[in-house]
Amino acid sequence: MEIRLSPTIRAILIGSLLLLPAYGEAENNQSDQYSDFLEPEDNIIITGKNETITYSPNTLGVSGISAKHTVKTSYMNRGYGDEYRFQINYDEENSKITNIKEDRVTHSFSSNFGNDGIFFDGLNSCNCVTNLNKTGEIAYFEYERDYKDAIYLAKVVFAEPIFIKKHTIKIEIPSWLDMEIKEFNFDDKVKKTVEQEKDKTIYTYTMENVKPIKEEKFSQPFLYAFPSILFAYKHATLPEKGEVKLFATTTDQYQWYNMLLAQAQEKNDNLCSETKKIVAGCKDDYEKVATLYQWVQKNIRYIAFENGLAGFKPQPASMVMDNKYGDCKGMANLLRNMLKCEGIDGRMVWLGTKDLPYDYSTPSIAVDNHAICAAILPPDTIYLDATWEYAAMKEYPSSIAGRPVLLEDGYKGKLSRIPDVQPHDNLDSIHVALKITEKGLEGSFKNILRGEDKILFLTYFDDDYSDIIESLHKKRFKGLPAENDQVKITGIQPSNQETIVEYPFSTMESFTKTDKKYYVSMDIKCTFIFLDTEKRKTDLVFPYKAVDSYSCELEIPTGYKITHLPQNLLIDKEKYKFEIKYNQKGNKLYYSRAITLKDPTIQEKELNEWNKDLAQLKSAYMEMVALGK
Amino acid sequence: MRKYIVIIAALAFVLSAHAKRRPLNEEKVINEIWARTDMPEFNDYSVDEKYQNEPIIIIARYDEFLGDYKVITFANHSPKKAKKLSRYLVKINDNSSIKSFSEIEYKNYSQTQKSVVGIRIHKQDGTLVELNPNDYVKVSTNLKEKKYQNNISKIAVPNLQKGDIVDYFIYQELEDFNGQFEYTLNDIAPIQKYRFHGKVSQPSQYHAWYWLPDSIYAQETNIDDNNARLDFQLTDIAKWEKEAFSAPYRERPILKIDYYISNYNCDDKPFKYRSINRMKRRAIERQIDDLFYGFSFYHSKLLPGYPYKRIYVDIRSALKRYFLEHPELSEKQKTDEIYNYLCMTKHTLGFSFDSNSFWIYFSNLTKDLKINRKYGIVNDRYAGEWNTRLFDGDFCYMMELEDGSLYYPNYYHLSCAIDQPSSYEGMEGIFFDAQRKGFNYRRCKSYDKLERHKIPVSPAESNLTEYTIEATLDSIDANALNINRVVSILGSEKKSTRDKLGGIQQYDSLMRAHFGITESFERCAKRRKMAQPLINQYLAYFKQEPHLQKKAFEEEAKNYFYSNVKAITSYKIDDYGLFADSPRFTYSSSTKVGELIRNSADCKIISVGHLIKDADYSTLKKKRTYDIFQKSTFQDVYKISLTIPKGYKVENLSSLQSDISNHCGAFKSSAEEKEGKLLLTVDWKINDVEFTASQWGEILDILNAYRSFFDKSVVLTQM
Repeated sequence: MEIRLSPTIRAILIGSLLLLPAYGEAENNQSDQYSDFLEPEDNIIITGKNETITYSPNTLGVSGISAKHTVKTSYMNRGYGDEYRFQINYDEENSKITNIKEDRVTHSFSSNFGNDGIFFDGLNSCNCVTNLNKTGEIAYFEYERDYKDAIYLAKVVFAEPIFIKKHTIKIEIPSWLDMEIKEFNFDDKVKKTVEQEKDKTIYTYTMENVKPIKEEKFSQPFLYAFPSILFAYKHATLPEKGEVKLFATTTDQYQWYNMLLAQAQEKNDNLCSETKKIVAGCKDDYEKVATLYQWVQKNIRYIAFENGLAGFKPQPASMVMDNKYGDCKGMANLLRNMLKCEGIDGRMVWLGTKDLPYDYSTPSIAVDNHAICAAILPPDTIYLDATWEYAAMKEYPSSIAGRPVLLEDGYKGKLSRIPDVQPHDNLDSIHVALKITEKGLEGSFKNILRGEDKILFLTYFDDDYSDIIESLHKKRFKGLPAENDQVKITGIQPSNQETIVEYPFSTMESFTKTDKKYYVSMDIKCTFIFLDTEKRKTDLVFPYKAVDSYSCELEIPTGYKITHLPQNLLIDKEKYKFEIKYNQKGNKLYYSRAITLKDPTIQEKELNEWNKDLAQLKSAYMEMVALGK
Repeated sequence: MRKYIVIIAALAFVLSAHAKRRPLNEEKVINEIWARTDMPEFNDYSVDEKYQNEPIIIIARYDEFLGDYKVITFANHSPKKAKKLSRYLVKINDNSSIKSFSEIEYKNYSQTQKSVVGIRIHKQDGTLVELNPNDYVKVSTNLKEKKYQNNISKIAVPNLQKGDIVDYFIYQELEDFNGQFEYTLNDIAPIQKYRFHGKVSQPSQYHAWYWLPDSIYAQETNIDDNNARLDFQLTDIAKWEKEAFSAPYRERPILKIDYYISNYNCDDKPFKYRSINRMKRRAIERQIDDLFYGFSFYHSKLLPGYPYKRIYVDIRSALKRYFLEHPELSEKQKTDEIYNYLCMTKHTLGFSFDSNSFWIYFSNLTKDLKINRKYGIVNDRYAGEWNTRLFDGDFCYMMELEDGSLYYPNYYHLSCAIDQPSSYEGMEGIFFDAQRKGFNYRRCKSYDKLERHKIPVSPAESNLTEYTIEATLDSIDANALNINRVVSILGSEKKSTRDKLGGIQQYDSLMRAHFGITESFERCAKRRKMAQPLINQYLAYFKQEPHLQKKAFEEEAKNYFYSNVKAITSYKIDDYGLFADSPRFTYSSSTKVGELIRNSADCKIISVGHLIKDADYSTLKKKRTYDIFQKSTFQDVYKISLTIPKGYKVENLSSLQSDISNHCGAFKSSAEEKEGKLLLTVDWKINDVEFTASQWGEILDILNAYRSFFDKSVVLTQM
């Protein structure tokens, strides 16, 4: 491309350039030494991250031990001017960020108000952004996080959203502290050394070339894929307090939870009178449980207080009742107390959702991030998670289904497990009735949703009706246009086991005609048609076990007969099943298709087989029925 | 003595500062407002029969704006106080509406001394529940919004139930405030009764404008010696519903108060207002006056090249000599040269212009080099037009060339010079003769000399996108087509498409335009004395370019073929379209797209409709309330060639023919079989940027024809 500037102008340019201040640093020739490990878009990387954890006696916290977590990170720009934003979350009650040192990084503090932007969820954030404009430029950020109580420092992870050249975690355990360090997802890449010094043991973990956390659709939570270290604090011998028992066993952990729960109990006279009003007319305990569960779901707004003591100490039931909002523990405690008011055995339940790869074999607060209530109606234990506004009783969302739990039970507590869901518990079933008209295909559409599919649908529906219509059209059933007023939705209450969406439609999308023949695609939804896993290198993890079923009946026009019927398909594997059937009865052709995800995790080594089966399914979708005279 | 004066002054300053920070007594304010008797409409809870089925009804709404001006100290002599009150009486008629009223949201102004919110709920059983302010959960939304002066606060309203009537107010006192206040007079729910009361003291010290519906225009403003007042009331304001292809600012009546002290005010009756449709010259004069006075200031001989006078003189001399050496250059080419040169200066000299100084440089240079005719300003279509809301949002500078064409030197993209923006077309611009009188603009007196005329709307053909598509059946994948696409864009869509496909968006196309992404870049840049670190930066950027460009092309292909792209095998930008002699941006790509061929026995059914761009018009409603606006006119032409496999013939050619033409535009498609190929031509266009709601039917006909073609398939049967 020709540049149309005269020599004179260039001379001026040169002259003007002389007046300008020198541009930044010289190019750093080291900048591309990482190109073997990185994609071109990995523009900003961490060249070094050093974390040091030390402990000291402290009279401020409950445990009597404080922890200091020092993090020093260097960032480098490999290419074009760019910024990297990161956030350090902390709760002011139990930890604070101090001694910040920064170069080409700016930071600011803020409070987090959760997804709805209205309630403070107990988290504060130090928001940082690197300012790297030139190739090879380096930024540095250092901070200390002081934990008043060491038990809140429960885990560290080798992972960042950007590439880390070298990540070192050093843990200095004083001789007076008995703690266990539990390693997860460690392989050869993490080097470990243990040094014994005079009055402390120093564990040093080093990992090089840590890949960035990259979000891919249908992936495992990152804690399952990246190395992490869990801390289990057992005993301490402190100068002032002497022998202090921490979380030596899960029972110790339970007793601490129970102690916090006991602090949240108070007289419930008002609560009980309110509860009475709510359950008035209920015939038995089961109905009372269902009614109270629905009442909390509907009337108490969920907000999260996730960190520090606030992350474990429930709010008193009456406070949640008055406020009409609460976090998971607060809602669970309210429900528990309401059940108790009615003489029903309501219990607190602590658990880690499926995002966490840990279980209760390690006594640490890192294994828990959620609390729910359980109603004991012998022989049944019914788990009640009121934070899910649209989950019916015994309808367990995938985040908690099958998870190990710590159940409130006397002095020692009890380990148990929430029932797992079966594929048919999460149902997305569509039935379409079609007939051929002048407009193409006309018919009616009926979608039955159960379980998690229902919950998600109703959550959208609750937010915005117009969104749901858009979602129906664009994301789920493309090509089945309907006006808002034609759509009928039933079963929108939390207690409804299923939600049904119905509307009439017409489409040309799946229909073609010639002078002599009609061609019809019986499957309008074609689940997985756009799922492309050919190049995938990581496990394929669907959100939950489910059945996606679709059926269609086509009225064969008078004078026409079927001249071509596609073949049936059956692929039945351990983790999934694809089935397509065609069946003609009288003047109607029936089509049914079911995709059953028996196990939602398809491992990387199973992908080859999955891809072949998926290709067969897609190919079957592309078969059309032909009708001729 | 001087010492004492300083002490007194300091004391007065401290006292005045202290006075400003005095907090409001929240409880007192709440009690006072609830006790007011001048809002009787808030005692009537009846809902009109016609609104019984509405999910939410605003039974009453009252807005009050009281502006005050007073001298507090000699050190701070012009503080103003504004008191704002907005009160609502809302009936919740539907469970689904509870959530939206469980939070009350309001805006914080930068100098807000304190906001007080009062909330009480009339329950269905007749009880009145008043929320205690101490129990409010009140937060600002988030850090990002805190950066802006006007951030949003929210208050939770617990335990709302269907049938409840929420009575709430937001009261705010603002001091030392210069700014705009806006009241949108319709809402997502119908408003049964609306009342506004405004009173502002010291009228000579502020400006105020109102953009109101005609019904309000009829009501006179009351002005006395010391105060200006505006009182009006409305009933049955219809609810506002969002529609496609709309310009919300035009659909919603808005009362706007621009409240600030101006030393240049030349109107002795400032409390005038005009309706949206009746806005006359006088009402917009002050704002135009400010703008043009600014121009004249920057163009005065005292300040050539402000703020970089020395550099300005150097650039002007260089350009002058260059133009003398090249007398063959047209006025447009000269203007391009100035524009490009200024863009270059930004990148190579290292100082960056803000939008104003860029314009000042540009307009000064074009004036001094005698190549412009008129300067002008025009509003963005979506910000409103001259007759509605002046410069509410985006506005654009213009310059008229000798051939009458307009030049819009507003963006720092080199390409802007030939990629003129389109969202100003059809809008009325105001122009000033730049050459004859210079910018000798005389405050409050030169307005009559400004010329006003509509910016012409480009014909659809000038915003042309041509798709040349060759499709063949894939030899391995029985459901896939291999598609070669060449896309050539002229006009409105060009710049955004090029920016998308160009890779990283932090850098505009400037460097590519001047240096190209070639190996010669470094040599070229060194010859131009670009600083080495900057060269390194661009080299690093260019190194990323192939990868990022591939991603951008994949994204574009996925959008085009709604995600069923199996592979993109080749792609390239054939012409950036940066210069007047090659104005088309042209790119090409080869893509394998799955799920386009279906089978039925020995037939192949090919979704040829899917070879045109997916445009989902299936959710458009037939009913239309508001007028229709779109960014620009356009014409899309598709020339599609599908190679028919040997031994097959096309069965249903006739179903691919369509022809819908009307005043608004057209959709035409034709098909023929020729030399073993199916040749399809699709031509669709929209002729204007604005249509009345009554024309919606014609537009829908075109959009439905498009949608219908998109769903079409062709049947290939074995011979």
